[in-house]
Formats: sequence, structure tokens, C-alpha cells
Amino acid sequence: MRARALRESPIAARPVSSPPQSARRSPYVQLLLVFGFAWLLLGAYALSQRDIVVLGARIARSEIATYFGVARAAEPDELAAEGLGADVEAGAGGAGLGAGGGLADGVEAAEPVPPPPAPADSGGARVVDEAPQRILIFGDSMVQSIQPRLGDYCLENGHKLLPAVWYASTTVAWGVQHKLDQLINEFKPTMVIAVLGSSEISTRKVEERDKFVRAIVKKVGRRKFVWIGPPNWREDTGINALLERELGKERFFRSAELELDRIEDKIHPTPAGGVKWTEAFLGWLRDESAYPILLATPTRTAPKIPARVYPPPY
Amino acid sequence: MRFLELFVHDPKNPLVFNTGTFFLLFTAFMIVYALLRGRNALRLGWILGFSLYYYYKCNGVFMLTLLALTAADWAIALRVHQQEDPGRRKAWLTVSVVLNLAALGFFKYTNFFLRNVSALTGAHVDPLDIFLPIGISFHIFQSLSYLVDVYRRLYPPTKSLFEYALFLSFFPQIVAGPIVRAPEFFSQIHPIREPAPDDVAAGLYRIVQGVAKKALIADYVGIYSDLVFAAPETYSGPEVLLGIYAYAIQIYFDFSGYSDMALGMARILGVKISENFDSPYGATSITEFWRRWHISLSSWLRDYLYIPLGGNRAGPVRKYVNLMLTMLLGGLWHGASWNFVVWGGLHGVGLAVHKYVGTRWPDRGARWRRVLGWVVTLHFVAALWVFFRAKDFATAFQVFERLAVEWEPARIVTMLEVRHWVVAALALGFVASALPTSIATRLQGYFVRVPLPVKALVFVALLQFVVQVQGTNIQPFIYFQF
Repeated sequence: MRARALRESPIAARPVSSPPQSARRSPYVQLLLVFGFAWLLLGAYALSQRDIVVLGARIARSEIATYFGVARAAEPDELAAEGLGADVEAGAGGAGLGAGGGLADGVEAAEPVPPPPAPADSGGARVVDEAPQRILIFGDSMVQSIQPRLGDYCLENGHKLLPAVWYASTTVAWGVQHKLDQLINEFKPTMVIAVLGSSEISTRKVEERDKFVRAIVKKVGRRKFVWIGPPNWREDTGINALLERELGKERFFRSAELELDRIEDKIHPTPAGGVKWTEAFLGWLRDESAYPILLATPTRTAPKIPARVYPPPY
Repeated sequence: MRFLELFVHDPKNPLVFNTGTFFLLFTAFMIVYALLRGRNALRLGWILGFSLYYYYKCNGVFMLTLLALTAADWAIALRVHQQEDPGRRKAWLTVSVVLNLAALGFFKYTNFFLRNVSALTGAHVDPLDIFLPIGISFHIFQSLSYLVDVYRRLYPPTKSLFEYALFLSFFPQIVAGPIVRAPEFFSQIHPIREPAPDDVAAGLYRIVQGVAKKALIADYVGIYSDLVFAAPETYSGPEVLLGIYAYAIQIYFDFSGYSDMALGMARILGVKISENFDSPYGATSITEFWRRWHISLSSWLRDYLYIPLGGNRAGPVRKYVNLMLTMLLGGLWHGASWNFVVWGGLHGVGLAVHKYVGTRWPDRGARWRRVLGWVVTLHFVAALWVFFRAKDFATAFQVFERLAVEWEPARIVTMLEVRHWVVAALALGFVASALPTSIATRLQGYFVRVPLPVKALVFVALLQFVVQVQGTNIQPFIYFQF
């Protein structure tokens, strides 16, 4: 009786609800749907030509496209090198969480590194390398004082420029972490310029920084390499002497005695001060350094070149 | 064409779990694995093939070492089992132990030995160019436990070389554990279980959790600890203390993140592996810490070293001696350096002191004692990580030296201002590492129950976040070097 009543009740007349579709799928189908969805999105973005920018930060691309020999979209460094593109990214390619961790190879065992070969001297005259260069300029905030005028020269002379600014960074940070290796691997510069030392003007035990300077030199390898010393705003505790000793006069441009206009903080040069500083450096590069390159005076102003920017290394 | 590079060993880039490349390969692996449903032998063969490929990507031709040891240990285990004469059984066991320890000794300790000979005799001895195969310490310990258990007749050996090879090379755990015991593994492959939907979702959750632990916490705080340990002389006391905390969090999140991924992948395949961590920084004593930290190693050391040495059955003095020996060798297992020996030895001292204090003043569950125990244990463990992390004793002592200086309040304020994200990450890390396992289980339950599209979105968001923060700079797992 009860069974019959149930069969005839409106409840029994309703079709039995089926489990949700996802629960009926094989677990592996579910897993592969998740993986497939992930690869579809990441893969499509990796192959796309348009950057996605969220809250001012460029969304990075995964490396998967490269495994199939597919050229990925132009990365900001290439845009930077061409002097094109928008004023990009704070910390592209790794600023913020997790960027560049780990000890760099060679910090511990760094020995003085022999300077890379200087161009052949023909009968006492300095030989200028007239080939267009790929110039990586990296360092602390002082890079931003050098970069604008250097950009003008690069545009005029066909060089490509990638500036990398790591605020408040030191020789320790660049020597220990992998940022420089990353930049070199990605940009493949023919010439590297360091602008470092301003955060170490007052460092005690400055002599212990030698191993980090050597680690940086080692990372640069046999590329053309010069170092722009800090423009002292107070007497240093030996960083300039250390850099000069480690690099030699042909690779180290001493800025300590330059009279530069400074902004309110009395530390960073004004734009005019930056131009003066850059001109002094380029004069030295052309006439006294180990690596004179083509540096005809600019006839036009280059568009602002986007830089790799990293937050302070703590 | 870089596709071909997927099949070539690159010593500078071992195939690490937390990379897009690995997940791409794992996806391809899973497609085939899913298609082989109901064909147990083919599935096991596919796992073995992928495992050997993975080991080859990590170690190149040194994969042959694994294959040789696998064949030798499998054959010796059968011999040990077949022999009735106790003397012969012991002789075969000795052969296998010597063989395995000789392989480990050659690859891992030859240069350590030469360095010490050189230091003692004053003779100049050039180190040899020896490649240390990733994961060798783990699979040799796994093999030794199998041989000893067969010798003890705890279970019969497998007659299948294929299955034994699968046991030793199982890719989720071959390079950094957990060290799996044979019965746990073999009982799950006859046939390999078809996982329920919950298993796959739970496995996926563990992978997500592991990637997040490694890429978002460990690698981030690792930047700071790297800086401090590279040049401790340039940091003030509070900064050095922060660096020590940072390493404590880094190593836990790095290693437990790897273990999470290993357990998650194994579970997706239908194999359940025992947990390797149980909220170790919530331990209220050093003894409890070792029950919660790298559980598969500490239980291995207990079962195959401490107890065979006599354990605590041979009187109090012998108990402490056994404890010290076990911890010294446990330290040496981690790496060929006196730093690791000192690290293990000091843990042994800590364990001995705790056992002595527990005997004299038994713990009656007083709350203050538990809180005090937690604070002391956490700082004891963190302080000993300095020996583990520092490249030599000089650096370790320099870290402790700097810890005592420049504690002016202004410096602390500046540090908190400048390094607030590190402080926040460490606070998050300590809270997360001390949380009871039940909370993690509950979180896993939520993830298992959410609809498939949400799971997919969480997975994609995490992968993208990892791509975002890592750039081209993938950090290998710390425990790969052991």
C-alpha cells in the first residue's frame, strides 16, 4: 500500500535528479580539463602579440611556446632596445615576489677576472669599434641620470639600449642575485655599463666588497664592460678606490670629483647634472677607456626608453 | 628547435617540478595514463618509462648508476631471501650494504674525504670532478630499507625486476623523497588503484599548495636569506635575525612544497604516499620536532640506525651515545661538509638534553611549559639552520657575531619599514607552518568540493602568478643537493 502510494505521489512522479555533469566525468577527464584550460590560456597568451597590463604591471608570458620553436611575442626588452613602446613595466620579468633569488655562481670563488680584450691598437691610434652595439646599462637609481642622454647617443649611432634600474642596489645585490645573468641572457648585450656604488659611499669594511665586484665582472664575461663610479655627495669610505683597483683605469670611470647640480635630496643629479655627467663619461669612453665605440654627437632627442625597474633589494 | 631539448640532459637545468616545462610534460604523461585505464601492466610500464626519463633529465648518463644499483639490489634481495644459512644471508646483506654505501660514498663523499686528508697531512690534493646524481641519497636509503626488511623476513622480496625498478624510480619522489617503504608501495600497484574523483581533486590541491609554498614563499624569503648569508658583515643584528628566520621558513616551505607536489602527483596516479611533514614549527620540544620534520628520514634513521645500535634498551649512557651517533650520521647524510655534521650533532645534543630534562622533570602538561617549549624549540631549530645554510664555519660564526650587534631601536624601525614584505611573508610562513594539519585538511576539503571551473581558475591563477614572479629564474629545490 505504502509503495503504491509513493509511486503515485507527486514526489515519485518527478524525475530523479542526476548528479552534476562534472561528477559523472572520469576523474582523469576532469584533471585534463583543468590542465587543458590552463595550457590553453597560458599558451594563447604566450603566442599573442599584445601585452596584458593589470594595475600597471605587465602580465608575463610562460615559456611553453618556445618548446615548439614558435617565436613568442616581442618582449619589452626588445622594444626597449628599439627605443619604442610605452613606458613599461615596473619589474617586468621578475620584480617583486620571488625575483632573482639564489646565490649567483662564482661569488664565493670569485677571483680577479682578467679584463676582456681591448681593441687592437694600430700604431698608437685608438681603434673605435664602429659596429652598432647592444648596450645594457644597469645599476642603482643613478642609471636614470645617465640613461636619457645616453639614449640620444644610442639613437644617433644605431646602438640599442636596455636600462635596468634596481633602486638602492649595491654590488652585493647584483653580485649575489641572478638579475644580471637574466638580463644578459635575455638581451645579449655586446657592451655592459654598470652604474653602481652610490649606495656604498659610506659602507664600513668596504674592502669586503671586492668579491662582489669580481662576481659582477665574472657575470659580464668577455663582453665590453665599463663601470661608472658614484658621483660623490660626501667623502666615500673607499668604494671608488676599490672599484678602480678591481677594474683598472680603462674600465672604471671615476665620477667622484664631478661638480654636478643635484636635486633636493642633494644626492641625485638634476636632469642638467645628468647630461653633464653623461657627457663626461662618454668623453672618457671615447678617449680613454678600453672600448671606444661610435659616439657621434646626437642631432635629435630620443624617445624615453623604457627601463627594467626593480624595487629595492631590502 | 627547443622541443628536442626536452629529450636531452642539461646539467645546468634539471627538470624541476615548479616549472611550466614539467607541467607540460606531466599533462602529456597524464593523457596517456588516462588512456591506459584498465591495463595495469601498461600503466606501470608507462610510469616506469616516464620516471626513468625524468631521472635522465636530472642526471643524464648517471641514470645508469640507478639502473645498476636497482638490478644489483633486486638480485641480492632474492638471494638473501632464498638463503637459509644465517651466515650467508648476513654475507649477502653485507655485500648489498657495502655496494650501496660505496656508491654513495664515491659520488658524495670522495672530495670531502680528500679535503680532509689534505688538511690533515698538508699535502695538496686536487678535488676530483665528480657529478653528484640528484636523489642518490634518497633512493639508496630506500633500497637499504628494502634489503634490511627482506633480511629480517618482514616481507618477501618482489620477483619482478620491473616492479623493483618502479619502486626505486617512481618519479614523484625519486629526487627528494619522501623515502617510501616497500610494503607501502607494492601493496598499491597490484593493481594500481583507479582513483576516485576526490583523489584527483585532492592531488591537484596538493600540487597547487606545493607550488605556492615553493614559488611564493620559499623563493621570496630566500632572496633575503641569500643576501644575509652572502655578506653577514654588512647587516645589523635585527637584519641578521630576520635572515635566520627567513632561512628557517625557506627550507621548510621549499622542502614541504616539494613533498606536497610529490604526494599530490602520486595520489593522482592512485598511489598514496605517507606525509613527510606535520607542522614542524608547532613542535613544543626538539623530540617532537623530529617526529614532525622530514618524517620519512627520521623514521628511517630510527628503524635502521638507532634501534639496530641498541636504541634506548642498553642503558641511559648508551642511549645518549646511540642518539648522538644517529644524529651525526643523519647530519652527514645531508651533505659532505662538517657544517652538516655539526648541525646533526647539535640536534643530537638537543635531543639528549630534552630526554634528560624529561626524565628529571616530567612534563605534566602545564601550559606555560608548552609555550616555553615551543619558543625554545623554534629558536633552537632556527639557530642550528645557520650551520646548515652557511657555506663554512667562519660565515656561521660571523652570522652569530653580527646577531649580537647594532640593536638600536632606530635600526629596527628602519628594518621594519624597508623590509615589511619580508616580515609579513615570514609571519605568514610561521603561522602556516605551525597550523594543525586538520586546518590544511579542511582547506583541501573545500577545494575538492568546489566546481570544476573554479578549480581550473585557481590552477591557472597560480600558474600565472608563478610565471609572473619567477621570470626566467627558476630556483631548484634545496633538498635536490642531498
